[in-house]
Amino acid sequence: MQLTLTEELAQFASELSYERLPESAKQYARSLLLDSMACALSSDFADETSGFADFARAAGGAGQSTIVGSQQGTSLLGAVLLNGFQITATTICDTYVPAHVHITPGIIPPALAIAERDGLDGKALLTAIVAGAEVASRLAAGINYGVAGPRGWHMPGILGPFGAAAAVGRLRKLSSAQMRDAFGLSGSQSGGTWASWGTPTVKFHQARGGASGLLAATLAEQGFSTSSDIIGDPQGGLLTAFSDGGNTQAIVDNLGEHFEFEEISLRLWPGGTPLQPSFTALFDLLAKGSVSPEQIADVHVYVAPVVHEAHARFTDPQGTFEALLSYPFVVASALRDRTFWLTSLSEENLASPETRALMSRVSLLADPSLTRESSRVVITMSDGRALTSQADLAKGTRGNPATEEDLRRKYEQSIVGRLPPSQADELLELLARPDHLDRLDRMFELFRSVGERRL
Amino acid sequence: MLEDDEQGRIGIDNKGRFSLPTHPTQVLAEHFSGVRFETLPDSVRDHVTDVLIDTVANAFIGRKKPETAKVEALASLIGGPATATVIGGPRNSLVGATLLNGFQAASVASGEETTPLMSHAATTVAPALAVTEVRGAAGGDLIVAIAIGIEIAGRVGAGMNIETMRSLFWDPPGVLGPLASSAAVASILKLDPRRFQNALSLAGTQSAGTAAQMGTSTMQFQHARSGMSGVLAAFLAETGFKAGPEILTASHGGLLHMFSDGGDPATVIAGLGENWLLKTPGSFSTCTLSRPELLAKLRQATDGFLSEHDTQRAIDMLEGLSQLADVSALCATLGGSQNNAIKRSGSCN
Repeated sequence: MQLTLTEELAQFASELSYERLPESAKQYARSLLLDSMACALSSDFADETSGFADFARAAGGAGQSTIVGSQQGTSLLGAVLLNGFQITATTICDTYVPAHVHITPGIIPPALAIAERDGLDGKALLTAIVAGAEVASRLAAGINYGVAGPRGWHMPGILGPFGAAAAVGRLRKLSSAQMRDAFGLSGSQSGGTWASWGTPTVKFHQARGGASGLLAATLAEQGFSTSSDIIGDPQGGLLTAFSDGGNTQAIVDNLGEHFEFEEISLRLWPGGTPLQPSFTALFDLLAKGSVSPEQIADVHVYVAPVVHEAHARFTDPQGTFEALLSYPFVVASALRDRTFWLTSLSEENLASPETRALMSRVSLLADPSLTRESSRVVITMSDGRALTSQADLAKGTRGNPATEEDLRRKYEQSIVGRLPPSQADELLELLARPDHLDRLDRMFELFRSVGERRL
Repeated sequence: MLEDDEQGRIGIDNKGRFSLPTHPTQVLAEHFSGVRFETLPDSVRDHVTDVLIDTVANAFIGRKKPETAKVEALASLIGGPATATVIGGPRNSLVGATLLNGFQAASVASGEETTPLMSHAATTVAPALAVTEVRGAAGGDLIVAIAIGIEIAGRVGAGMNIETMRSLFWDPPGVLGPLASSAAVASILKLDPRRFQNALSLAGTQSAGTAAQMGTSTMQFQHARSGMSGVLAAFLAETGFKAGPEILTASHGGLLHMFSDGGDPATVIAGLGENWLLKTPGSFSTCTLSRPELLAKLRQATDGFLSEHDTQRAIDMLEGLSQLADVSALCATLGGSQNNAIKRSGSCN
């Protein structure tokens, strides 16, 4: 009997095994784990993290599940919500760019929570990460974001539940039928729009997506019945409810042979995804020679029209969230310091007259010839020289990948001051090679040992 | 095109019609954050009591449904300490009890002879009861919360045009339920207008659920989940977390566009402060049973859970809810003898 679209994807996720994963998939899953945990470790820089922690504990209650950076555990639900938010909090987490969707905040926390609770090994964790990331990426590739996005749908809360359910379901060894039901229950919770663009609620979507997937897989395991084809059903299925029917081949073609999740991009600089090509162009330019901020007449940053429309209004950012969406702020900081990290988001820097003066010379402009993935920076010096750099792909994308050294540096920048160096090094090695671990206890112990940042 | 004035009180809706005002989410939040028990008409208080009795009865009936045990397993696995009452069952976490009570009630309400939005009651009553209990709020607060939740769901539904929503295969309780639940909980938490507004936005961004699940228990899970979504929304808003200001009519992602054809924003706030839609004859939440019929239904539903004495005690407290300084005694009674069925003779199995 022919499998439905949902059943086909469910079978893939249910039957995925570590032994059959190609090395490239294993390596990219390791990178996603390390990168996402580096992001979580940097979450103390975000204004909203503390309040979100209060919320997660109020909603989730006390429990045994580990929160990265806290000795005090919470329930599965609380841990998935808070760790998910921590990954995305500082706007430096991964993105599947074609659908503008962040994947790891939704799948890594539930995978970690279940692996911890069930005492599973690193191979199981890594396989679950692949299952979750691949399901989410496949759906992102197939939903036709060119239709869904303009309609107003924001993907993390829509696709995130499926990825989370796949990760949890893989760890819980759900059968194909149970995984199908997990997806059905995920789709019943798919939601989230761009109405909250410009506020941290877009990050809540990601955390909530993970929580929804946890609910879905857990309920499916109990034998709960759902729609047999939530993805392809023409009356309320994912592809028609949120889009125009999408591209079903992108979802199921070459499952297990081609891994779409390897297209997920990583961010080396804090800031919205569209800012990454601009950072790439800018730092490529700075690498070629010294540019003294005092001698800059103006800076023009060219981006695709859709990016301009989304970011142009952030000319006077208030707080870290807006700062990370503000081209004038990030470019001015980067030019002044020749680097850009979360430490650039201090209140002092945000209010600095020097920074503000440089910001006033930075203009964001639309260029229809550019794509979302590309950007051009033109610095005009006071002597009339024009310095130009264009990035067609941001550093961290598949075509311009982040190196292992890049990710280690990101991790080190994130953890500095939060763990003694020896423990920080130990945690790095555990995160970099999780599938070598028969037990994950030490990893969780170190997560709990992460303390308040002392520099 | 007319420009919005400073309060956004004048504008043109998406069909080019003159409408007052253009920020219904803000207007709803400003109005309902100030509603108190003393200002509720008697007819609204009575109606809410009817809804509460009916929902509690449904929850007892639904306790026996086979799928309930599966939702209970879920609730017990994901949540924290057992701090909230499950109607007819062992206590569970706040979120767990919200899910479970909501599911129990919804698994019956949608199958009963009732108006469409009565199934919304489950999405409002369950979270409102759980939060009232855990936060130590009064019985009068619970009545206000349920009134506000059902009213907001009804108004947004009217503005959205439920039939249009259904024609697009969206499930109204899944879409409107989070708004109802978040409003109810926001009322109990006594959120100020801005946080109330954020709660509505955080809820609306969890609106979900389609008719693809028709014929499965997932339809009822969608309703229960929407109650839980409202709890998350209101709790997060309580911390000061910011959301988009206009979840209903934002040009990119506003719910009236996303789940319908743009609807009629003016309908959402028409007569606000003068009329309660939930008491309009023939409206969406008209209760089809009289009070005596509801009480008879409840007495029958508690068979196997509560003694006659405890059933009467529950009825007295439900009918006298506004007199309760907190709902702990009511909840303790509704929890029943959790693991043993109580026969009417008063003996245990």
